[in-house]
Amino acid sequence: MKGSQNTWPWKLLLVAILLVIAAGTWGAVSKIDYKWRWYRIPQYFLYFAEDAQKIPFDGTVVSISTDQKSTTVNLLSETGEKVAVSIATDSLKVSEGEELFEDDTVGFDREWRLGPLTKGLWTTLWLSAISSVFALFLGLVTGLARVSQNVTMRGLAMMYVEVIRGTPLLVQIFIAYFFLGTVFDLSRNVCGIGALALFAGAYTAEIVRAGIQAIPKGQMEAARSLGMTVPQTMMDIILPQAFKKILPPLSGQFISLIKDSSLVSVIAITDLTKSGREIITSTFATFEVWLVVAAMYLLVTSLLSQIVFYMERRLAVSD
Amino acid sequence: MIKTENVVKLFHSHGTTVRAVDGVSAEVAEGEVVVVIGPSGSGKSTFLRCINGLEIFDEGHIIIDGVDLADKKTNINKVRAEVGMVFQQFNLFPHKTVAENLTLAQCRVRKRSKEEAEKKALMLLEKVGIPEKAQEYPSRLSGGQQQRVAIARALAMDPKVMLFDEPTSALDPEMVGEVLDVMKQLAREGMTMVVVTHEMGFAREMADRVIFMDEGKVVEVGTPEHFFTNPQEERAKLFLKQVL
Repeated sequence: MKGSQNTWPWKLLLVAILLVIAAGTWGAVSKIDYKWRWYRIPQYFLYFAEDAQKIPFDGTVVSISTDQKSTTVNLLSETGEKVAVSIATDSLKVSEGEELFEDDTVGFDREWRLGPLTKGLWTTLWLSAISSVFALFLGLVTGLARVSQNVTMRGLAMMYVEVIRGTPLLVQIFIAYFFLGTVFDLSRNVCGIGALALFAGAYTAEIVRAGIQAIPKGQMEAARSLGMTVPQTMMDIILPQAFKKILPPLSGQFISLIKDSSLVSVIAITDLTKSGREIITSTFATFEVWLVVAAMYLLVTSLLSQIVFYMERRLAVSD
Repeated sequence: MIKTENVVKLFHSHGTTVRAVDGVSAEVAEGEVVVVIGPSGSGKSTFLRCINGLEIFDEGHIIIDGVDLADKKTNINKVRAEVGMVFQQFNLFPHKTVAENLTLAQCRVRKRSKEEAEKKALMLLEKVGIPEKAQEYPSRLSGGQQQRVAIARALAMDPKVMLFDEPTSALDPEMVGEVLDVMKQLAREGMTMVVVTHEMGFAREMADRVIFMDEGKVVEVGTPEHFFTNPQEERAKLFLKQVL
């Protein structure tokens, strides 16, 4: 049984299993008479907006000038006020010298705009990114405190980790928003980021602690025997080696953070999940929207995995 | 150079207290090579580790170049920079190249410039016979080469004393010689050395004095000729009978 045995029957089996799952799902869905409306989804990523441009007063069209892309209409009110309105050339509805009343349409302004799915994804991304930075910082400090000689530091760090790991994130988000947010007058974004960072920070601390403790004692002794201080040794010797060891669990933690960030939608932060919910209320395309939302999370998390995989290979040069 | 007075180191485990080092008094003069031998568990490594503060001793005094380690005001980092240590397990920094292993503490502790530190590193690698490995990572080196790098790393700090904690015990037999050769060269150059080892050949050839320890105590001290040919104590006789 050497490694080079024929694997393609097993790959065929894999494909067959996937097909069975897909067919089963398909069959089950067709039974409940759901009308798929995939065509309604793309507009929630990107759409072509058309806004009517109106005259803000009673007045006349003074002049119309056209360049390649747009047309500028200069308007003059009865009181001598001047306004220039920019519209798409083919949507021009007025001519020079024409008299208009307030709110008459001059023409339309068209542009591509990002839809709620894209905006929601963006919110999820920056929310997760900022939380990750804070979580990494918190985790590093707490992890170092966990291995420190100082009893107070160790006790504080342990309590923090235990409290956070022993309570559900959803409850923590509610406490952050309804209790801390009210008491300290914090915005929902601050509460959301704070809750996520505190949550991920506790887990990161345990990862950091394990990483530091996995470095042989001899490394600390060798550095100390050369006259290096504990902080110098941590920065130059222990943490770089620990970082390499903890990169896989750490990346797992941050992938979790991206997924967990969907919970902040309960405090009305319009992230990807909340955007999905909002779209469903206007389209009733429940199946399509949730599938798309899931696919978007999956895309982001797999991208992150790939980046980490690449970093691990780069860091492996000294092995 | 080094003077120890009644050094006691206690280890506490499972409610019992072990006197790992039990009142060791010894002196090492400048340029002297002192070899500490004894059965395993005799406290010789622990005693050596006390000398550069890797173990905090419970009683007594260790005075290095006039500085008392037992004094609370002593900056242990300053002392350590003057006392080089070579470990049984080499303890090279695996994420740094050989050259970086040698330059890091020079830059951080001795505040030397990068160029100066690199020059020194290369000079020392030349001395231990592996200048061509400067840009390699430690994992690509043999055990003997790694230990020679470790010696060079300690020397890069210009220590006044070098401590060796069983430097050849983790090596394959064919690599022991190359490390001992470097140590012999150092001894001939007049480096003050304290060596914990099981290499009786080295002790016999290079030591100015041999300290025999057992159960945390110094049992016998003497010149190698005297100690190896005519030991006074029963325990020393027994030990020599077993190892020679």
